[in-house]
Amino acid sequence: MITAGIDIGTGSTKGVLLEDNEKIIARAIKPTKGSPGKMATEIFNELLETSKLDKGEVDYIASTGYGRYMMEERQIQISDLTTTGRGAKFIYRDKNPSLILDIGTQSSRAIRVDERGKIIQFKMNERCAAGSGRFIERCSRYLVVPMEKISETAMKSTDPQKISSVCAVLSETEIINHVSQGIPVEDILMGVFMSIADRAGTLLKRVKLDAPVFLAGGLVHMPAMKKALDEVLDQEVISVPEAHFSAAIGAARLGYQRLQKIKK
Amino acid sequence: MQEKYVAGVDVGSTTAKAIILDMDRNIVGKSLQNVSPKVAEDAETAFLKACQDAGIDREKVVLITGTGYGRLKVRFGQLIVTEISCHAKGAQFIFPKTRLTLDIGGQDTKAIRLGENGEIIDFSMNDKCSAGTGRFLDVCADALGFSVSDLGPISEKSRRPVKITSTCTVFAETEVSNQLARGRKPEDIVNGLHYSIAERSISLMRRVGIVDEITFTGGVSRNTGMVRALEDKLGRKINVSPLSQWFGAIGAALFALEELEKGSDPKFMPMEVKQ
Repeated sequence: MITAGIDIGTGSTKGVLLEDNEKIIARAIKPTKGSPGKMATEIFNELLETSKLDKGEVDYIASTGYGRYMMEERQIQISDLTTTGRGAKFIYRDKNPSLILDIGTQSSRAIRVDERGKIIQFKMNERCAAGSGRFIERCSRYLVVPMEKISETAMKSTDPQKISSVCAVLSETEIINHVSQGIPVEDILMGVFMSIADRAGTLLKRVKLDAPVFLAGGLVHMPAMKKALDEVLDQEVISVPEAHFSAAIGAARLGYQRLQKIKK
Repeated sequence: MQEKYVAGVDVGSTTAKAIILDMDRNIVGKSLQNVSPKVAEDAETAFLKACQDAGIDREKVVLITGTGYGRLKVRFGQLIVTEISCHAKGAQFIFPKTRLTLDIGGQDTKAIRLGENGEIIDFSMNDKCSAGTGRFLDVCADALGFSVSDLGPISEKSRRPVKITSTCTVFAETEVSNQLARGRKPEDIVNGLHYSIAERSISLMRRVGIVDEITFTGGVSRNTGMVRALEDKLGRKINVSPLSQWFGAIGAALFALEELEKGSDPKFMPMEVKQ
C-alpha cells in the first residue's frame, strides 16, 4: 500500500511516498514559492515521476504544514506538530527518542512524545523570528554570505560573538556594529546560531530537558546549528539530514493508519 | 544682564534632537539630526545646529542636559536625565493636563503615567522587540516601496484595513508582501499596520492605566494615520504637537533651566546623572 505525505512549510515543501508504512520509495523537496497549493501538486507529481507510479496507485494522500489546507488532492490534513512527532519517532526509531526539537523557517518547537510518537507536551515559538531559520536568512542577506555557505562559514569561528538583542530586527544594528569593529563574519554568524540555540534551550527547559534531544526541521542540515546546540545545551544533540522530512514522513504514516481504519 | 540660554539634547536610536530655551521658557531654536555610528559627533552637531537656528553663539548656552538612549554621549553637557523624565516633562510643558504619554520611537515604545505636577507614577516599555516601534513601520514601508513619511497620507484612502496577524516585524514584512501579491490595496495594508501598532501600544498603556489626557510623542507621532488608528481604538482624542519629536529635548532643557533657577553654577557642576 502506498501513502503520500506532503509537508507544505513556510520555507520549503517536502514530500515522501511510503510503501506499507515502512519503506520510503520517493522523496522530493523544493522551496515554497508562490501558491502553496500549486507547490504541493508540483512536489506530488515529482514523487510520482521518481517512483514511476501512477496517481491512481497512491492509496492515500495526507497533507501537513502551514499550507496543508491548500493542497486540493489531499484526503486528510494533519497538524504539523502531530506529524513531526510521529515522523521523528520513526526516523530515530532505533534510539527511542522522547524529546524532539524542530527548528523551521518561521517557528521552533520543543516536543515531548510518548512511546508511539504521540505528543504529550510541547512549547513553541512562532511569533518571533529570533529563534527561527528566518533569522539566519536575514543575516545571510545583510552579511552577504549565501545560505548554502552559511553553516560552513560559521563553523570556522574561533571566538563566537554573542548577540545581546532578543529581536531579529534590532540585532541587525548590533551585527552591523560588529562588522564595523572588524569582527570576523564567521564569529558573528556563530553568535547568531548560538542565540537561536539559546532560545531553543529555553523552549526545551519549559518541557523539561531530561533526555537526549533529537533534531527535526530545516536546520538539521546545518552542522553549525548542531554545534551551537551541543554547546548551549551541554549535551550532544542527535541529528540526521533525513529529519528534514519528519513531518512529511509522519503524515504518510498517519495516512496509512487512517487507511487501515477506513478499510476495517 | 547678559543674555543666557539653556539647551536639551535628546540622542535617540535614530535621530538626535536639540532645543534651546531662553530664561523665560521660550523655545528659540531647535534641530533634528540623523544618528550615525559616530553618536557623540551627531549629538554635538544637533546642538550646534540648534544654536544656529536660534542665531546665538554656543557660549551663550550656559547649561546643557543630555537625554535619550545616547545621553552619555552628550559629553559637552553638564547634566544627564533619563528620557522617561524628560519626555514626561516636555509633554506636560506643551500640554499641561497630560496624565499619560505614549512615546513611539525608532526602536522602543514607552507608556508613562504622570501626576499633576509632572511626577512619574508608573511607566512601561518595550525595548526588547521591534514590533510596535518605528522600526516595524520602517521595515514594512520598505516592503511596500514607500517612505515612512508617506504612510500617513496613504492610509487616509483606506476603506477596509487588512488585518495584520504577525506580531514579529520580520514575519509582518512577509505578510505585507503576501497581501500585496494577493491584490490587497497598499492603503488598506498600511492602515492595517497602523492598527496593529495601535493595539500593541494600547496594551502597553493598559499596564500603567489609561487615563485622560493622553499625549502622543516620539517620531511615529508625526504619522497622521497612526494618530487616527490610536484615536479610533481608544475612542477618544489624543494630543499631538508638531513639536512632539522634541518633547524629550524640551524636557531636558527645562531640567537645565530649573537647575539654574535653583542657583547652581554650571561652572562648578560635575557631570551629574539624575535618576
